[in-house]
Amino acid sequence: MNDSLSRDLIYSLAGHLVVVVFIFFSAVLIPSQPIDLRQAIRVDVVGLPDKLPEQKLAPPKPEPESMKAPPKVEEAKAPKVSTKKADLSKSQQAALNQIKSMKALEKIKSQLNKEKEKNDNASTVVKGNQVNAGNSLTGLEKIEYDRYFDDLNVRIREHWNIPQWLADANLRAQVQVLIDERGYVVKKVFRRSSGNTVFDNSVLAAIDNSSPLPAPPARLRGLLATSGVIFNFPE
Amino acid sequence: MSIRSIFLLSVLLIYTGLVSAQSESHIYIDVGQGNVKKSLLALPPLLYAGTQPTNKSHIQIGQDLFRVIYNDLSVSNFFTFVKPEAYLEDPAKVGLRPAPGTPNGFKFENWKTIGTEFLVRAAYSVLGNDVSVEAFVYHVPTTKQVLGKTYKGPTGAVRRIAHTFSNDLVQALTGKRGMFLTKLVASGLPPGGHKEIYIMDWDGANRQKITSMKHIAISPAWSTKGDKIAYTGFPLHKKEKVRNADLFIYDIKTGKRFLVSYHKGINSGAAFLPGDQFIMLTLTKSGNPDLYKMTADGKSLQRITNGPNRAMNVEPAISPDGTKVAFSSDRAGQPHIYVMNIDGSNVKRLTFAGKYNSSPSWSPDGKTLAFAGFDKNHFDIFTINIDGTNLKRLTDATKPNGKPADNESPTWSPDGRHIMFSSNRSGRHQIYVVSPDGTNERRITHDNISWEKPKWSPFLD
Repeated sequence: MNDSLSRDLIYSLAGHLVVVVFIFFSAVLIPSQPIDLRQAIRVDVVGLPDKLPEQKLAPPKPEPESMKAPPKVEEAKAPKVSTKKADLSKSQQAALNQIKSMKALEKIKSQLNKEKEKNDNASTVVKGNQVNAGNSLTGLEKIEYDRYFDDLNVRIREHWNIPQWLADANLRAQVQVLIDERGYVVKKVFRRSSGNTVFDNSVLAAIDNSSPLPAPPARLRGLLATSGVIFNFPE
Repeated sequence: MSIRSIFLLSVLLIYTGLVSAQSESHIYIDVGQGNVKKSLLALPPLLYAGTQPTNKSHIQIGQDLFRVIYNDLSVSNFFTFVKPEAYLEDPAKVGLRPAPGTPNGFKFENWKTIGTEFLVRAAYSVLGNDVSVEAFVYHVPTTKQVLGKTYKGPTGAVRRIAHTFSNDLVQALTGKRGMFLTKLVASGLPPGGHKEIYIMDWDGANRQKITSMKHIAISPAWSTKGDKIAYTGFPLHKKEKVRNADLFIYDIKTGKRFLVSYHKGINSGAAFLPGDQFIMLTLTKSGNPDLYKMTADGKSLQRITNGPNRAMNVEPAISPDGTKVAFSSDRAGQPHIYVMNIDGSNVKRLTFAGKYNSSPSWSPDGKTLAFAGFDKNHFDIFTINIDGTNLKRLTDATKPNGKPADNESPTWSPDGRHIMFSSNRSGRHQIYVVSPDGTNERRITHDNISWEKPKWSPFLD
C-alpha cells in the first residue's frame, strides 16, 4: 500500500516537473507576441473650434468699368539731349539706326498679331467641307478649360445675391447662357424656372451683372456661342 | 413580329439614342450658394384711421404695435430698415394704397428711388375696447402687393395682433410659419427669492410664474403639443422628512399640476416623446443616473440605459421624429454627447472635441444638434451635424469684467431659424437668441432675475 502511494507520488511529481520544464522552455525559446497596451489607449481631448467671424453680407457692387481709373500708361521717355559738343554725324547715324530697329520691331509685332487673329478665326468659323478641330478635353487643354469654367463659376457666384428670406427655400433654377468671343452674354434662357419671381430675377441679375465674363479660350468660342453654358442655381 | 421589323425598331432606337445623347452635350456649371443679403424694408409708423386720437392710451396702442412689429422683423434677420430721414414722401400724409388708383395714394417711385424692396403701410383704429389694424406689404421693385389683411381684437391683444402680422409676412415671403407667437419656459431666480418656473412670450413679454414651490423648481420642458410643462421640484417627503427631486407636469389650460414621478433620488431632465404619451427622464433609483422611458402618467417605466461601468446618462433630447435620443454621458471619462435609438440600441458618440459637452437640443429638421461645450474655462454654444460633421461655435462673449461669459442650455426655435440660450455676459444669467450661423445675437430678457434652462415652445398658433 505504502509502496504504491510513494510510486504514485513520484509519478505525480515527475509529471508536474515535466510540465514546469515545458512551460519554462517554451517561454524562453518561443516568446509570444507582446501585448501592446498603448494601442488600447485612445486620446480624444480635442479643442473646440473658435467662433467664425461674422458672415459678410453681399459685397458692394463693383465699380463700373467706366468709373475705374484708366490703367497707368508709362509715358515714353524723351531721348536725353546731350549738351556736350560731339561728333554730329556719329550721333545722327546712331539715331537713324535706333529708328530703323524700332520700325522692324513694330513690323514683327503686327505680323504676329495678324497670324494670331487668323488662327483664332480659323478655330471658330467652320464652314463647308472642312473638318472641325473639335473640342477634345484632355491634357493641357482640359486644364485650361477647367480653369476657364472655374473662372465663370466664381464670377457668376460673386454677383449672385439672394434675399435672406429665400436662402433656405430650396429653390432651384437652370439658365442657358450664350457667350460671345469677348465674353459678353448674348443670350440667356431659363431651361428651368424656380417658380419664384424674386429668385429668378436674382439669377438673371447675377448673369447680367457678371457680363462681360472672361473671354473663352479659342477652341471653346464656337461651342459657347452656339450651345453656351448651362448654369445650375445653386446646384 | 418579323425579323425585319425588329431590325428597323433597333435602328430607330439607336438613332433616337444618338440624337438625344447629342442634344444633351452641354456644359453644366453648378454655381453654388450665392451671397445672402437682407432686404431693405420701409416700416413707417402706423397711421390712425380716422381723426387723430387725443386719448393717450390710443396713441400708446399705435406705438406698441409698431414696436412689436419692428422687433419681430428685426429679429427675423430678413430685413434692414430704411431710415426715416431717407423717405422721399411723408408716409403720414399719403394713404395705405398706391397711386394711381387710390386718391392720395403713395407713389412706388418715391420708394423705388431710395432702394426700398418692401414697404409696409398700416393703420389702426380703436373703438371702445376693440382694436382694428389694416396692414399692407408691397414688393416695391415689382409694385406687387405681398400681403393685405385686417386684424381685430381686444386692446389687451395688441401684442398678439402685431405678432400675427409678423407671422403672416414671414409666411407670405418664405412659405413657412413664423415663430412670433411662440413662448419660452425657463427656471428663474429673483434676488432674494426662490427658483421657480416661468412662461413668457418668446420676446420676454407677458411673464407668468407657473410654480410656487417656494424652494427650487428646475429643468422645465414643453410637451410636443405645447399644452403642458414638465419640471422638477423639491417637495418635502413628510414620511422620510427629506426633500426629493420629483417630476411634476403642469397643465397650462387648467393651471393644475400633477406629481408623476417620485422615485427615491433624482426624477429630472424630462423630455416628451411626440404625441406626449411618453416621457424620457433621468432617474437615480438604481443608484446611478440613467435614462428611463415612462408613460406620461408615471405608471409604467422602462429602463433605457444602464451604465456602462456606472457611467451617468442624463439630459435626454428626443429627435423631432421620435426615433432617436441625444443625451450626455461620461462613459468615456468626460461628459460628451451621444445619440441612440429611442429603445436604447445603437449608441454612438457624437462629440469628441472639448472636455465637457452637455445640454443637446435637436433642430426641428433633425439634422443638427446644438449643445453647450466647455472650453477655455467657460461654456459656449456649438452646433454639430448629426453625422458628426460641421462643428461650429456660435457664441463668444465676455462679461463686464472682461472674462469669458458662460453661454449655456441651447434650445431651437420651432422654425429652426434661431437658437435661444442663457448667458451671464451681462453679469447675471439672461436669455439671448442667436442665428444658427452665429450671427444676430440679441438679448431677450432685461431684468434682475437669473434665468436658467430656457426651452422654446413648439408652434402654439
